[in-house]
Amino acid sequence: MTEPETMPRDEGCLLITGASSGLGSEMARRFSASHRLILAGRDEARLQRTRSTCHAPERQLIWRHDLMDVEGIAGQLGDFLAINDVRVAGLVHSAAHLSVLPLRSLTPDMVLDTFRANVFAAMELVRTLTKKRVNQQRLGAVVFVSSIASQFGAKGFSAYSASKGALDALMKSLAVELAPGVRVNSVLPGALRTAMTESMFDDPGMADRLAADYPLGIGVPADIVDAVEFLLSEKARWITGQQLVVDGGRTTNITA
Amino acid sequence: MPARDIKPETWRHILAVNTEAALALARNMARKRVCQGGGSVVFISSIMALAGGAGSVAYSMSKSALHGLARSLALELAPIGVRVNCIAPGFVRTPMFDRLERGWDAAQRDAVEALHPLGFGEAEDIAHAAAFLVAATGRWITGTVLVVDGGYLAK
Repeated sequence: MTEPETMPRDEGCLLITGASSGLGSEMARRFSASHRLILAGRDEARLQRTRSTCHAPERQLIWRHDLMDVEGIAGQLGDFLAINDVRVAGLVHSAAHLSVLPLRSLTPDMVLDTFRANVFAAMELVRTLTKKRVNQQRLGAVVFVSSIASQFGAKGFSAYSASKGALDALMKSLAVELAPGVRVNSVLPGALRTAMTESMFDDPGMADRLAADYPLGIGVPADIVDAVEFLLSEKARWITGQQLVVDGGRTTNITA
Repeated sequence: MPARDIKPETWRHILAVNTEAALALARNMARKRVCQGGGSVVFISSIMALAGGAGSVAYSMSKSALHGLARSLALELAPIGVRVNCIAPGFVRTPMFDRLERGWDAAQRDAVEALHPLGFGEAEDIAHAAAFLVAATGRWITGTVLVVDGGYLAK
């Protein structure tokens, strides 16, 4: 048997959503060494900044799209792929909307915004990339960046937790429906220090409490990138429909 | 073997090999000078640790006990930088699998394979997952179960 490839089959691109921030930009930097990327995000200037940190920046493509516009995904992504004459072999949905608010302060619109970015966009991206006309059956692996919040409760996290729970349920159904052609998995990170979570770490009391709950300490984006890379690769060719928890032992800790 | 027929010495043997040996081996990681600078333990459990099947009580019990062992050992060994995780495989083509397969007719074999959206696995698939967990790539992963089952448990 030949040595497995390190990345998805075929020569298609890897599409990374949320590529302008924390985890997404770290993945872009790393995966650009082995792959041509499509960096997706809202802000052109920030996407350019991510691209400038990539290997061979001139090869990497930028798809500027606000994922809150779920209805626009199919048409605009389809056009983008056609214009650039590229196909997508791997998808990483890393974009996420997080607002930590008590239930009494949440409005239905806020909850819908969270679901739009975290769940509906993920579904629409996979739906678009599995259209024969758009992507010619090139999609081989999908990784959703979920959260341990999909499994456990936390004050102020109701909308976010619900959306990540929905994302993981979506992942399992897609894994079953799209097998054997497309593998679909999620990675469930614990608390990472990124721009999205920086406000939680600004409060020193909160930062100390969080650190105490993590047997291996608080994570950094690179810890998650390795797990995403593994799931995208041919080394994970028999893994689909799984939630891979990468949390420094947080959810195992009965004293937390 | 049905629960009403299994003999105590049989289930004790299964527990001794599958579970107690894992504890007896892994607890040495905590001894002085065994793993300076951290380490990693991987237990191979099974999808039978997470799902049930008639006739599999002892195997299922022994494999789910590994998950409990891994969780608490992970917490105990985290301060010395030792990580502990499980891999739960589906049906993988191994000599144990061949023995099982001999008891099936073609229709039964196809039915079992059909339970895996990606078909039966190869030992190499499990080896890749173990390598990922043991290496630095798994440095922030402890106390978890990585299911490698071709989609068996997703449906």
